[in-house]
Amino acid sequence: MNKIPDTHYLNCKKGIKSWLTTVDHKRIGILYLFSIMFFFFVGGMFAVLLRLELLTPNELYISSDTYNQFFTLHGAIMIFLFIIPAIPAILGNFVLPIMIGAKDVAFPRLNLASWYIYIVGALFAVFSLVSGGVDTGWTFYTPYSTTTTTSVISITLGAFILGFSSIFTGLNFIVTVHKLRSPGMTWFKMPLFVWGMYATALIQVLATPVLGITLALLIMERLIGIGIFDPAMGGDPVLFQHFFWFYSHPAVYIMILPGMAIISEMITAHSHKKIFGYKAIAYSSLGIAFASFIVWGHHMFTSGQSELAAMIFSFLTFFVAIPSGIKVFNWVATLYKGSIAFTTPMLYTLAFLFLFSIGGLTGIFLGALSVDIHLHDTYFIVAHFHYVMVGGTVIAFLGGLHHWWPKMWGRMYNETLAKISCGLIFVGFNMTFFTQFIMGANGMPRRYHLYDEMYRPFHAFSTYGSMVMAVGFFLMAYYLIRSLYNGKPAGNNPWGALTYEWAVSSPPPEHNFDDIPITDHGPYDYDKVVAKSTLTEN
Amino acid sequence: MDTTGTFWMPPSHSTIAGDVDGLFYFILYTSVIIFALVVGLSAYFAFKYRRRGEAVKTDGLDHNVKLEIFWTVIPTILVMIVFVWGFKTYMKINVVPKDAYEIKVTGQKWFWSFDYPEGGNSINEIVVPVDKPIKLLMDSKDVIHSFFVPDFRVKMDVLPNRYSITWFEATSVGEFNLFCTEFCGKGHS
Repeated sequence: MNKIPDTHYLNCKKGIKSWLTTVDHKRIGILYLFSIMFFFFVGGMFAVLLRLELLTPNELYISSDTYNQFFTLHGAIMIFLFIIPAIPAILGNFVLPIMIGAKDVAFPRLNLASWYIYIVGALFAVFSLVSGGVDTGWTFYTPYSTTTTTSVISITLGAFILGFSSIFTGLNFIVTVHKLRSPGMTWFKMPLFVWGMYATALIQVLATPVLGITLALLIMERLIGIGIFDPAMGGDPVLFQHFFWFYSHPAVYIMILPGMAIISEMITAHSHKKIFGYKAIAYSSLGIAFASFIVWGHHMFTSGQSELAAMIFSFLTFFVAIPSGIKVFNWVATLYKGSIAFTTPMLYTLAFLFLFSIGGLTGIFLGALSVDIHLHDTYFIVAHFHYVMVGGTVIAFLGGLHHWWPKMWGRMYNETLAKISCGLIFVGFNMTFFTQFIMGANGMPRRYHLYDEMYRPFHAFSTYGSMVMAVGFFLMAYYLIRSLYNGKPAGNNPWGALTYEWAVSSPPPEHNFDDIPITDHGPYDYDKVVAKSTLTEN
Repeated sequence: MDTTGTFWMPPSHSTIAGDVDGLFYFILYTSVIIFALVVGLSAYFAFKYRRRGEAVKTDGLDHNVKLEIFWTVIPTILVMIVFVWGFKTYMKINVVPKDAYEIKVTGQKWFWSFDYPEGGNSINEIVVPVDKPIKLLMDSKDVIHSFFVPDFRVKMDVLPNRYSITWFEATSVGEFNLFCTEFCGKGHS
């Protein structure tokens, strides 16, 4: 029988104060887990309300002004409060130090500070929500955002503050990976999750300041009218788009690289197979991180930028596609001659390969200049980025949550319910968003409250899909919360995996390791070592 | 020329629509093949190598240079075809023919107005002759709008304090939807 150890990081200190002043990376990960999941729920509710309104072409139950605020809040909350921090701040914080054999991150106090900054930023966002909402879209395009009467200042200030939280996490991970690896763990013996987090951290530290400056300029424009972006004062509204996408395109990779990083861990751990093309995957993370900085203009093919600029951005965009494709091919090849267990994390991994392939391939349509002219700002774009961000990042995040959940809490969730929930989310997601590709290509513009009758069947089907998805998410919330009380003890290594976090107890002790761990095998040496699953001992 | 529309694309009623649709379908079919390979092989491997019983050591295969070169070079060639094809049509969309008939377009919250060279004007409805290139000289009075006619495959942002230009040539007579595709507030439609 597996047992939960008597003392571990969750019960070594007690009381609210011990949590609010903790510098333990695992506890900070848990703080982030609850706060980020709260905002995931809020953003998700806005999504359901939006889909419900779009059931019919005419006004169903909310006005156009309310509709515009809902899609803005859905986007802003999901991007800034959920998907950017989710994987690095929750799973990265929890497992990255253990994976490299460290007792904590390099700057534990900075780590806690990043959580407090997240909360402050979130409060600003919540303030704008209760003080009348924002109606600019999450992209805050000028001059609309400089002239609307809604609370643009508080939400952009919130995003500005959240940027620092992101920078602190990134900085912490860069230094941790450089300085705190255990003896013998060379760069090419690191788990690929660590490589992915490292590449993400580089973008977080280098790109986020640009967003901060842009939003600060926007705030000053509104407050004191400095006239950088407002054409009425001789400013240039397209300059805002350049600044904004100079951050927000790399930010897309702040979101997807961690998802890819999780896939590399799950696909090996649940197939007990050595990763195919370790170096190709590691280098492609860095390649993607670098290329992400020089493709921002592909968001602006219809903005009136010069033909030469459009040509260069289109050309460079296709070079982001190649390393992403290489990663997918490597994961498929990893499955070959493996020993594949159909656990919940493996189902999420297979769902990721399916959905992310669609997300990636539809990006090719949008990179092609002539086709993008037609598809730009239609539902095709909406479907494309949801396939990448939800089908890619969120599916990987949920897989990772199920993969490391027994490590976090020492207990297993109900696997049957987990598989049903995964299936509902997968089917519901495709129903919701695949239809949006079709209506987008047929000309349905995004951000419309009222729409042409011809698109009605697509919108209705999409709404039904979102309901299926919502059921899947509520089921997940149910069995995950329930597992905290009466889940079966998981043992140290429920999946029979080889990375360090599975060698310590579940939940891990306060300081992770009693002795400095020494690497005697690689993270994916399933051809040399067999680790038995501790689940079979139940 | 396909005037009834297909499953994916709306009807095409302009000179460049055929080029755009050709590339769209080229990418679509290529993508379907790649997608079928990725998902088909994943499903096949997942089924064939499913775990049976106790954990065992697995094959140590971790690279294959020929295969890796293959799956890097082939997609690179494919995306370069897409890039060149897309760019060529894009230049057609952007270079206005010399004899084009010029209409002044003004976007504002929340209507379009069109001024014709003979002095007439119209609101929210642009009336153009068929088989003649039409040049649009566009400007906005307030925020950014975007001029989009799906059946013509033409779209261009309309900016305040700056002119933007696009053109099209309708190939059949009819009424076609005109949409604004840059979010501009309550009456965005």
